[in-house]
Amino acid sequence: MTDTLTRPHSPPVPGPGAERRASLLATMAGAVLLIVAAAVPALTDFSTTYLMAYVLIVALLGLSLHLLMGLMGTFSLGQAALFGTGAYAAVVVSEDVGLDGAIGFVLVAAIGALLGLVMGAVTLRVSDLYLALTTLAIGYILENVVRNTDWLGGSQGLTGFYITFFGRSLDDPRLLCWIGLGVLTLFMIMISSMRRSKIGRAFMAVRESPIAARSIGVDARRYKLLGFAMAGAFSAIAGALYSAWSLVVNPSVFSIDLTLSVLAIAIVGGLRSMPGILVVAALLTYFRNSAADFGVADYVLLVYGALIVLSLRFLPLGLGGLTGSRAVARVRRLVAHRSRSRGGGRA
Amino acid sequence: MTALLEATGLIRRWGGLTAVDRVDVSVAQGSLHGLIGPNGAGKTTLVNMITGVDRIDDGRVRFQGDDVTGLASHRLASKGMARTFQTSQLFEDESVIDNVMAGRHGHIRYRFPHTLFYTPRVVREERGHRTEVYAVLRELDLAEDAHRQVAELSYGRRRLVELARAIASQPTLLVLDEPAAGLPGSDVDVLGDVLRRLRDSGYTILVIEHNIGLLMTICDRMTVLSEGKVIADGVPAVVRESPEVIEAYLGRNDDA
Repeated sequence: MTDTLTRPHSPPVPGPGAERRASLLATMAGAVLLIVAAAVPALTDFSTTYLMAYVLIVALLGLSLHLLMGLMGTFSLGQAALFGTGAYAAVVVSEDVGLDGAIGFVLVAAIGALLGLVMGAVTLRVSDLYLALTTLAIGYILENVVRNTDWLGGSQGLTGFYITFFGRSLDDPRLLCWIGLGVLTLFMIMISSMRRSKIGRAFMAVRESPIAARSIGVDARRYKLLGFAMAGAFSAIAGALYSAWSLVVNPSVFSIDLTLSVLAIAIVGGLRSMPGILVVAALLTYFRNSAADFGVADYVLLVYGALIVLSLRFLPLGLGGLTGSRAVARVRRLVAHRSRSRGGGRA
Repeated sequence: MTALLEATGLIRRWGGLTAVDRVDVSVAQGSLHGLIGPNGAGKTTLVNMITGVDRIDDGRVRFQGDDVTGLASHRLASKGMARTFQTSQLFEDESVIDNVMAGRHGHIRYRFPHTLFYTPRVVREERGHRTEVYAVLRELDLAEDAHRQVAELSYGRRRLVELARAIASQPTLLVLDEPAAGLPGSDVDVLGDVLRRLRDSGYTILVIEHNIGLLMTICDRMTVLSEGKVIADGVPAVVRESPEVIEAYLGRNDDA
């Protein structure tokens, strides 16, 4: 058998310079996309703007799953619990506490982070399916608590509230869109810079194996709590934007329906790919929104389920996995292999 | 030589079975210490106990003179005990250097809030640690693969990346769980050279293997386990002649 420890002869790989150039290019492309996206609400009608705002809200939730499942490898079904809490918290902070969104949303994020911490703490000792079910149960508990709390409008929910941002009402969908874009950009910057740091590496180590993570000095529990707290803050902000978007907040914000559709988006888009999640969030939200026009309104969840299954079977890393450097490398190898075999089969 | 790691009277029971039965192991500073035994002898259990992964039912572990019995493994890691596992724990779709950087975790001083916006402090520290990681990669002849994805590497080189990650943490004790498992023969020799070189540059290494040939040639000292008990301990030449070892390990029809 050949030596596999010593270095085989192989084509040169991109060095740190190429990596830096690629990341600069990606940053520039992102900035252009951001400007274009920011221009959309100013140029189109209200219904498109509303749809875009909803896409942004869903994308924020998708990002929280990217963090929890993609980076940290924790399969959580608690998105709706965090999202719903954020939605209610935003209304309470605005109406009962009387805070403007500019400060209020920070408070909402803190509440979400706190709930995320609690969720992380109660699931420290369980993993996989048990963890998923525990987080799901937290959503059910919260839903029933809210349903039976008159102060929060019971099963009717809350309506007629006002959420402002720097004094301007968020019932203007353009403003909502811009805030959503700002928050989304902020979170993407946070996640991608965290990912390139020791925090990101610690998350990935926990994902591969908590035991091995500890052996390189990573306190796996602490990082799990940190991941949950961040996901909680992101999801709660998504919930806050949702309450401003829908103008009604009722116990259905805790529903499994939401959790599953975000799960579908994250899996199909690629748990480890932020661009993939954004693209699929837009596509699936558009599909869902116009399902009635296609005459498939009753089958939306069926389609979502089918997409999850197909994606897991054929694209385990989702659409984002197609563009990953690993896939690119595979294609490059394949091409190299082809041209070699054509040249007489010698390497 | 003083003992860097000293385990005395370690016991681990699984129900009625005593997997590790009053085991003493003493690893001298600067030595390459082998822990061998047939499959099921309790090697991995013992190592898991020493490195804080598994519970210790009875006995004590002293590391660098401190009693570390029952200490969580991430605390042991920050005290300088690094280990590898039998199965790969790498981030497959990340580059070699990012994988090995994970081993620097305990040495990086910036904290979580710095990373949210990748402050200059993070940039500076990351650059410094990368330089050190490059040195480790060069030492293991991995430097040219630094920016390659782990998934692209051969099995043998992936195992080297794991070794590099453990070394990157600048451990005072390096615990390797079956580093030669699954390697073809020619690679085992290369690995042996790497381990010897590491020992010569000052590392203390505890290596678990059932490949007795490898350990016989490279170890300063060996401990032989069989059915949870120590049946021999000493320099390879003496261990090789021990009747218990020959009976329990070499004499039987055991294809280890």
